[in-house]
Amino acid sequence: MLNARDLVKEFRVARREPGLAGALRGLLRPRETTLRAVDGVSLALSGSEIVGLLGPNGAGKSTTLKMLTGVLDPTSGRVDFEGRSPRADRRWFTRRIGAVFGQRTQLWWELPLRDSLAAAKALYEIPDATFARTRAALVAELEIGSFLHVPVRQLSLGQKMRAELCAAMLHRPRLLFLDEPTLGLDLEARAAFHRVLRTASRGWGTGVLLTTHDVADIDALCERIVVICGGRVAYSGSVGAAKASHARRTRLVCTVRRSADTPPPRTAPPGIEMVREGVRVVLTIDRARATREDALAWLGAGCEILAEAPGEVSTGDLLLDLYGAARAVAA
Amino acid sequence: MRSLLALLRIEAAASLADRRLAVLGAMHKLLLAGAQVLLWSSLVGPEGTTIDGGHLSHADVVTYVLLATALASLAEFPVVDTINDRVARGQAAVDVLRPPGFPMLVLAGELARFVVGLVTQALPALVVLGAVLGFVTPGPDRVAAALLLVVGGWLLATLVGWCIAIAALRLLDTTQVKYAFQGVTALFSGALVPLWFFPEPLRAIAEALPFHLLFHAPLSVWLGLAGWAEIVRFFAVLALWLCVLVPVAVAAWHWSRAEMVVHGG
Repeated sequence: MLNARDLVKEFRVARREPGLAGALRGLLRPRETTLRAVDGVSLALSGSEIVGLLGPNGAGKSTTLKMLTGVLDPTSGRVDFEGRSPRADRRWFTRRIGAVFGQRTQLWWELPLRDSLAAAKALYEIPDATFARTRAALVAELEIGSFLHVPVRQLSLGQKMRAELCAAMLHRPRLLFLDEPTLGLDLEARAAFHRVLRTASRGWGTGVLLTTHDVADIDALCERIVVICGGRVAYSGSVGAAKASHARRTRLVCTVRRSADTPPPRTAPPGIEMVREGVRVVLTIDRARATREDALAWLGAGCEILAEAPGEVSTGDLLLDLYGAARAVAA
Repeated sequence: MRSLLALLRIEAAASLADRRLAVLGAMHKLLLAGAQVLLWSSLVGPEGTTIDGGHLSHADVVTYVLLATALASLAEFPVVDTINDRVARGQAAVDVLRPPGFPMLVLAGELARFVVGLVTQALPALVVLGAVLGFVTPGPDRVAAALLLVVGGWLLATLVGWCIAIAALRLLDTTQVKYAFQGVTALFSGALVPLWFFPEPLRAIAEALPFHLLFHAPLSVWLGLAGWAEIVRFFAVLALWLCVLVPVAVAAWHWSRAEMVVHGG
């Protein structure tokens, strides 16, 4: 459905020197450097697939997303959606996609939410019956019925974000772009988000490309992740496969006789982290810096270990490993 | 077309959402127009004054001042602030992804706000002050011609504002450019002082620039101080400027689009 090949984006950035003298020099002889924000990113997304576009801050995720949506022109490389260019066929493309970009809004702040939803119907030329059906389903799933009459500016962050998602999905988009949509949401709002996205993916065949820093979103939604670091794809594949092949950290779940006997976490040797949950102790071991035996020896020095079993690496740890490995390669 | 109408409706509704702003806006217009009328009345006196196009009665002056105040937003290029704001908030990136597109969303909003401003703020001031101080109403043909010129003038001012905002995005800030244009427009459009009172060289400059089409042209038509030959010339010059500005605005949009969304995040 969506294909991007060898996307590169470069920006000309003014180089400013510090201080008043630097500012004067910049005025007389401005200097510019070329910043390569995205460096050869390729990715594909099929219908009904939910893909996480992940990476640390400044990795090039948002720039990639803007090129995929046709907002930005790539310096080189190409994007096509169902064989057509998002940029050249902007009007055709925008009718088939939906987007929620974190802090930006597609709602009219001064007006009740229902007016914005009615405007979306007109802008996307949604037939009456489809609109009524989809709106009813989304309003129920996202639990926004109680504040349809409230001006958008009076809604809480969670209410606003649910309303944004509703407006972005009323026309049943083939593809949904979500840029950190769950930032600052409470657990209920987040659960509603996840529920609706899964329903759209399975029921309507909507493909979802999601950028997020929230591990809960990834665990709940993403069948596949594309990790971008330094403008390049550091990993593309399933979370499970990444845990098996790329995780540098391992986990060991131990049961001890007395929680009070365990050593303080701050005394852990380099590469070992400990979390206590009563008599259950989870040790995270960075394999590059410590071994399983090191960890057991440190824990067992002061307390009796009754049982031990390998634990699953968390997605958060996996991402830290992927980001770290990508940085090491770049360096 | 249906989506454009829907857009105009919702933008108009959004402009009307705050009752206090509408009331304050109407009071502002009333005070401004009242002060201007007093000033000009004392300058021309009850007999009016003679200008090169004929006689300007006291009622003509009052009408000119009231209409010029009603149309004042034409010389303010509000579209520049709209675009700056949408870019600064990153809203432009979202606008680009909606079917009408950024230019249509901006222009529909501007038109809706202009019309709502005229109806809710300028018209009450016009009616109140006109009833008290006198107001000249011409025949329907001149009213129609003047209204058409106002519509064309709005388009002209919006295109000029669009070019300033969009092109200057590459310079990071458009405020100073806008202020410069506002000053030139206020002077050469007839918004502050009717062009009939200008010395000949200054008036020649004003007529060579497009800004006289915003105030001087429709108000001359309304007051009967422009003959039909001159009215035709106004429309021809307006069409010429629009023919120049539309491609410039389109080119400026294409030139600045990538830059704009980068600033917008």
